[in-house]
Amino acid sequence: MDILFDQGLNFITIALNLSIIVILVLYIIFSIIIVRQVQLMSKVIITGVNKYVYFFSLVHLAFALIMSLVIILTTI
Amino acid sequence: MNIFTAFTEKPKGVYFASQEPGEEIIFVLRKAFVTNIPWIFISFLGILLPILYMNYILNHPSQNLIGFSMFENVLIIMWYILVIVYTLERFITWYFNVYVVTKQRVVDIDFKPLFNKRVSETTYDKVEDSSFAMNNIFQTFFNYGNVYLQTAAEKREFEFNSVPKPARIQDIISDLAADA
Repeated sequence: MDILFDQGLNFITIALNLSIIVILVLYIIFSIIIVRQVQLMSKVIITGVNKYVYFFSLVHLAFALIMSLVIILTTI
Repeated sequence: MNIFTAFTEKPKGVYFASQEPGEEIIFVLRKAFVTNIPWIFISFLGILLPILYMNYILNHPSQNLIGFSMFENVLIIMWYILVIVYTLERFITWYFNVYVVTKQRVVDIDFKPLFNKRVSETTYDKVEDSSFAMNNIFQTFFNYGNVYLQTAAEKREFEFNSVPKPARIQDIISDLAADA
Protein backbone atom coordinates (compact mmCIF):
# COMPACT_ATOMS: atom_id res chain seq x y z
CA MET A 1 0.00 0.00 0.00
CA ASP A 2 2.79 2.39 0.97
CA ILE A 3 4.72 1.51 -2.21
CA LEU A 4 1.64 2.24 -4.35
CA PHE A 5 1.16 5.56 -2.56
CA ASP A 6 4.84 6.47 -3.07
CA GLN A 7 4.61 5.57 -6.78
CA GLY A 8 1.49 7.73 -7.16
CA LEU A 9 3.20 10.62 -5.39
CA ASN A 10 6.29 10.17 -7.60
CA PHE A 11 4.13 10.25 -10.72
CA ILE A 12 2.39 13.45 -9.57
CA THR A 13 5.76 15.03 -8.73
CA ILE A 14 7.19 14.20 -12.17
CA ALA A 15 4.04 15.42 -13.94
CA LEU A 16 4.07 18.69 -11.97
CA ASN A 17 7.79 19.21 -12.63
CA LEU A 18 7.30 18.62 -16.35
CA SER A 19 4.33 21.00 -16.54
CA ILE A 20 6.33 23.66 -14.64
CA ILE A 21 9.17 23.34 -17.18
CA VAL A 22 6.75 23.53 -20.12
CA ILE A 23 5.04 26.65 -18.68
CA LEU A 24 8.40 28.32 -17.98
CA VAL A 25 9.67 27.58 -21.51
CA LEU A 26 6.43 28.99 -22.99
CA TYR A 27 6.78 32.06 -20.76
CA ILE A 28 10.37 32.67 -21.94
CA ILE A 29 9.28 32.26 -25.59
CA PHE A 30 6.43 34.72 -24.97
CA SER A 31 8.89 37.22 -23.43
CA ILE A 32 11.25 36.94 -26.41
CA ILE A 33 8.38 37.39 -28.89
CA ILE A 34 7.19 40.48 -26.98
CA VAL A 35 10.69 42.03 -27.16
CA ARG A 36 10.86 41.33 -30.91
CA GLN A 37 7.37 42.65 -31.54
CA VAL A 38 8.00 45.82 -29.57
CA GLN A 39 11.17 46.27 -31.62
CA LEU A 40 9.25 45.84 -34.90
CA MET A 41 6.25 47.95 -33.91
CA SER A 42 8.57 50.74 -32.74
CA LYS A 43 9.62 51.07 -36.38
CA VAL A 44 6.00 51.26 -37.58
CA ILE A 45 5.01 54.07 -35.21
CA ILE A 46 7.90 56.10 -33.84
CA THR A 47 7.30 58.07 -30.65
CA GLY A 48 9.57 59.40 -27.95
CA VAL A 49 8.26 56.90 -25.40
CA ASN A 50 8.81 53.70 -27.43
CA LYS A 51 12.25 53.34 -25.85
CA TYR A 52 10.66 52.99 -22.41
CA VAL A 53 8.31 50.25 -23.66
CA TYR A 54 11.27 48.48 -25.28
CA PHE A 55 13.31 48.83 -22.08
CA PHE A 56 10.40 47.43 -20.09
CA SER A 57 10.10 44.44 -22.45
CA LEU A 58 13.83 43.74 -21.96
CA VAL A 59 13.47 43.97 -18.16
CA HIS A 60 10.51 41.58 -18.43
CA LEU A 61 12.61 39.11 -20.47
CA ALA A 62 15.42 39.30 -17.88
CA PHE A 63 12.86 38.76 -15.11
CA ALA A 64 11.41 35.73 -16.97
CA LEU A 65 14.86 34.17 -17.41
CA ILE A 66 16.00 34.79 -13.84
CA MET A 67 12.72 33.62 -12.31
CA SER A 68 12.67 30.47 -14.45
CA LEU A 69 16.22 29.69 -13.39
CA VAL A 70 15.40 30.23 -9.72
CA ILE A 71 12.25 28.04 -9.92
CA ILE A 72 14.10 25.23 -11.72
CA LEU A 73 17.04 25.33 -9.29
CA THR A 74 14.90 25.44 -6.14
CA THR A 75 12.07 23.04 -6.96
CA ILE A 76 13.12 20.58 -9.67
CA MET B 1 3.02 62.55 -25.49
CA ASN B 2 3.44 60.16 -22.56
CA ILE B 3 3.08 56.39 -22.44
CA PHE B 4 -0.64 56.49 -21.55
CA THR B 5 -1.69 59.19 -24.01
CA ALA B 6 -4.67 58.22 -26.17
CA PHE B 7 -5.27 61.53 -27.96
CA THR B 8 -2.54 63.76 -29.34
CA GLU B 9 -3.14 66.68 -31.64
CA LYS B 10 -0.24 67.83 -33.84
CA PRO B 11 2.28 65.76 -31.88
CA LYS B 12 5.96 66.63 -31.83
CA GLY B 13 8.51 63.88 -32.38
CA VAL B 14 6.02 61.29 -33.67
CA TYR B 15 6.50 59.59 -37.04
CA PHE B 16 5.18 56.50 -38.78
CA ALA B 17 6.90 54.10 -41.16
CA SER B 18 5.27 55.13 -44.45
CA GLN B 19 5.23 58.87 -43.71
CA GLU B 20 6.15 61.02 -46.71
CA PRO B 21 8.57 63.93 -46.34
CA GLY B 22 6.61 67.00 -45.27
CA GLU B 23 3.49 64.98 -44.38
CA GLU B 24 2.04 66.62 -41.29
CA ILE B 25 0.41 64.49 -38.59
CA ILE B 26 -2.77 65.98 -37.18
CA PHE B 27 -3.86 63.28 -34.72
CA VAL B 28 -2.27 60.22 -33.17
CA LEU B 29 -5.01 58.19 -31.50
CA ARG B 30 -5.43 55.09 -29.40
CA LYS B 31 -8.48 53.69 -27.67
CA ALA B 32 -9.49 55.95 -24.77
CA PHE B 33 -7.54 55.05 -21.65
CA VAL B 34 -10.77 54.42 -19.76
CA THR B 35 -11.34 51.35 -22.01
CA ASN B 36 -8.37 49.75 -20.23
CA ILE B 37 -10.13 49.74 -16.87
CA PRO B 38 -11.63 46.19 -17.22
CA TRP B 39 -8.26 44.49 -17.78
CA ILE B 40 -6.53 46.69 -15.19
CA PHE B 41 -9.23 45.60 -12.73
CA ILE B 42 -8.78 41.91 -13.69
CA SER B 43 -5.00 42.26 -13.26
CA PHE B 44 -5.38 43.77 -9.79
CA LEU B 45 -7.78 40.98 -8.92
CA GLY B 46 -5.17 38.51 -10.22
CA ILE B 47 -2.54 40.09 -7.97
CA LEU B 48 -4.85 40.12 -4.95
CA LEU B 49 -6.29 36.58 -5.21
CA PRO B 50 -3.20 34.62 -4.02
CA ILE B 51 -2.69 37.15 -1.20
CA LEU B 52 -6.30 36.66 -0.09
CA TYR B 53 -5.94 32.88 -0.44
CA MET B 54 -2.74 32.82 1.65
CA ASN B 55 -4.36 35.03 4.25
CA TYR B 56 -7.37 32.69 4.40
CA ILE B 57 -5.15 29.60 4.71
CA LEU B 58 -3.14 31.18 7.52
CA ASN B 59 -6.37 31.76 9.44
CA HIS B 60 -7.98 28.39 8.45
CA PRO B 61 -5.13 25.83 8.02
CA SER B 62 -7.58 22.91 7.72
CA GLN B 63 -9.09 24.44 4.53
CA ASN B 64 -5.86 24.18 2.48
CA LEU B 65 -7.14 23.24 -1.00
CA ILE B 66 -3.82 22.64 -2.70
CA GLY B 67 -2.40 20.21 -0.17
CA PHE B 68 1.06 19.86 -1.73
CA SER B 69 2.82 22.51 0.29
CA MET B 70 6.09 22.02 -1.63
CA PHE B 71 4.32 23.15 -4.81
CA GLU B 72 2.23 25.87 -3.24
CA ASN B 73 4.81 28.60 -3.80
CA VAL B 74 5.46 27.42 -7.35
CA LEU B 75 1.74 27.45 -8.13
CA ILE B 76 1.49 31.00 -6.83
CA ILE B 77 4.46 32.04 -8.96
CA MET B 78 2.83 30.37 -11.99
CA TRP B 79 -0.34 32.28 -11.25
CA TYR B 80 1.61 35.55 -11.19
CA ILE B 81 3.28 34.61 -14.51
CA LEU B 82 -0.22 34.24 -15.97
CA VAL B 83 -1.18 37.65 -14.56
CA ILE B 84 2.00 39.26 -15.99
CA VAL B 85 1.42 37.66 -19.43
CA TYR B 86 -2.21 38.80 -19.47
CA THR B 87 -1.38 42.36 -18.34
CA LEU B 88 1.52 42.75 -20.75
CA GLU B 89 -0.48 41.36 -23.67
CA ARG B 90 -3.37 43.75 -22.98
CA PHE B 91 -1.08 46.77 -22.57
CA ILE B 92 0.96 46.06 -25.71
CA THR B 93 -2.24 45.53 -27.70
CA TRP B 94 -3.58 48.89 -26.53
CA TYR B 95 -0.28 50.72 -26.98
CA PHE B 96 0.43 49.60 -30.55
CA ASN B 97 -3.11 49.86 -31.92
CA VAL B 98 -2.79 53.35 -33.30
CA TYR B 99 -4.76 55.53 -35.67
CA VAL B 100 -2.87 58.30 -37.43
CA VAL B 101 -4.62 61.18 -39.16
CA THR B 102 -2.40 63.28 -41.41
CA LYS B 103 -3.18 66.07 -43.84
CA GLN B 104 -3.03 63.57 -46.73
CA ARG B 105 -4.50 60.33 -45.38
CA VAL B 106 -5.70 58.18 -42.52
CA VAL B 107 -3.59 55.26 -41.30
CA ASP B 108 -4.93 52.41 -39.16
CA ILE B 109 -2.27 50.29 -37.44
CA ASP B 110 -3.80 47.08 -36.07
CA PHE B 111 -1.68 44.93 -33.85
CA LYS B 112 -2.37 41.64 -32.08
CA PRO B 113 0.59 40.40 -30.03
CA LEU B 114 1.83 36.94 -31.09
CA PHE B 115 -0.54 36.89 -34.07
CA ASN B 116 -0.48 39.67 -36.59
CA LYS B 117 -0.11 43.31 -37.46
CA ARG B 118 -1.93 45.09 -40.24
CA VAL B 119 -1.44 48.60 -41.53
CA SER B 120 -4.21 50.02 -43.72
CA GLU B 121 -4.59 53.53 -45.03
CA THR B 122 -6.85 55.63 -47.17
CA THR B 123 -6.52 59.03 -48.76
CA TYR B 124 -9.20 61.70 -48.37
CA ASP B 125 -10.24 61.62 -52.04
CA LYS B 126 -11.53 58.08 -51.41
CA VAL B 127 -13.51 59.04 -48.29
CA GLU B 128 -17.18 59.26 -49.24
CA ASP B 129 -18.74 59.75 -45.86
CA SER B 130 -17.70 60.13 -42.24
CA SER B 131 -19.64 59.79 -39.03
CA PHE B 132 -19.15 59.18 -35.33
CA ALA B 133 -21.12 57.40 -32.65
CA MET B 134 -21.11 57.33 -28.86
CA ASN B 135 -22.96 54.16 -28.08
CA ASN B 136 -23.49 54.09 -24.33
CA ILE B 137 -23.51 56.16 -21.17
CA PHE B 138 -19.80 55.53 -20.46
CA GLN B 139 -18.81 56.75 -23.91
CA THR B 140 -20.95 59.86 -23.49
CA PHE B 141 -19.67 60.51 -19.97
CA PHE B 142 -15.98 60.01 -20.82
CA ASN B 143 -16.29 61.59 -24.28
CA TYR B 144 -15.09 58.72 -26.43
CA GLY B 145 -16.64 56.71 -29.25
CA ASN B 146 -16.26 55.32 -32.74
CA VAL B 147 -15.47 57.26 -35.90
CA TYR B 148 -16.55 55.65 -39.20
CA LEU B 149 -15.20 56.47 -42.63
CA GLN B 150 -16.93 55.07 -45.71
CA THR B 151 -14.44 54.80 -48.53
CA ALA B 152 -14.51 53.93 -52.22
CA ALA B 153 -11.38 51.82 -51.78
CA GLU B 154 -11.13 48.04 -51.40
CA LYS B 155 -11.47 48.33 -47.64
CA ARG B 156 -14.97 49.81 -47.55
CA GLU B 157 -15.03 51.08 -44.01
CA PHE B 158 -12.46 52.51 -41.65
CA GLU B 159 -13.43 52.36 -38.04
CA PHE B 160 -11.64 54.14 -35.22
CA ASN B 161 -12.76 52.21 -32.17
CA SER B 162 -13.38 53.97 -28.85
CA VAL B 163 -11.20 56.99 -29.60
CA PRO B 164 -11.34 60.11 -27.39
CA LYS B 165 -13.12 63.24 -28.71
CA PRO B 166 -14.75 61.52 -31.71
CA ALA B 167 -16.71 64.64 -32.68
CA ARG B 168 -13.54 66.69 -33.09
CA ILE B 169 -11.82 63.93 -35.07
CA GLN B 170 -14.81 63.43 -37.39
CA ASP B 171 -15.07 67.21 -37.89
CA ILE B 172 -11.43 67.55 -38.95
CA ILE B 173 -11.59 64.45 -41.20
CA SER B 174 -14.75 65.65 -42.94
CA ASP B 175 -13.11 69.07 -43.56
CA LEU B 176 -10.03 67.37 -45.02
CA ALA B 177 -12.21 65.07 -47.16
CA ALA B 178 -14.20 68.05 -48.45
CA ASP B 179 -10.99 69.84 -49.45
CA ALA B 180 -9.58 66.76 -51.23
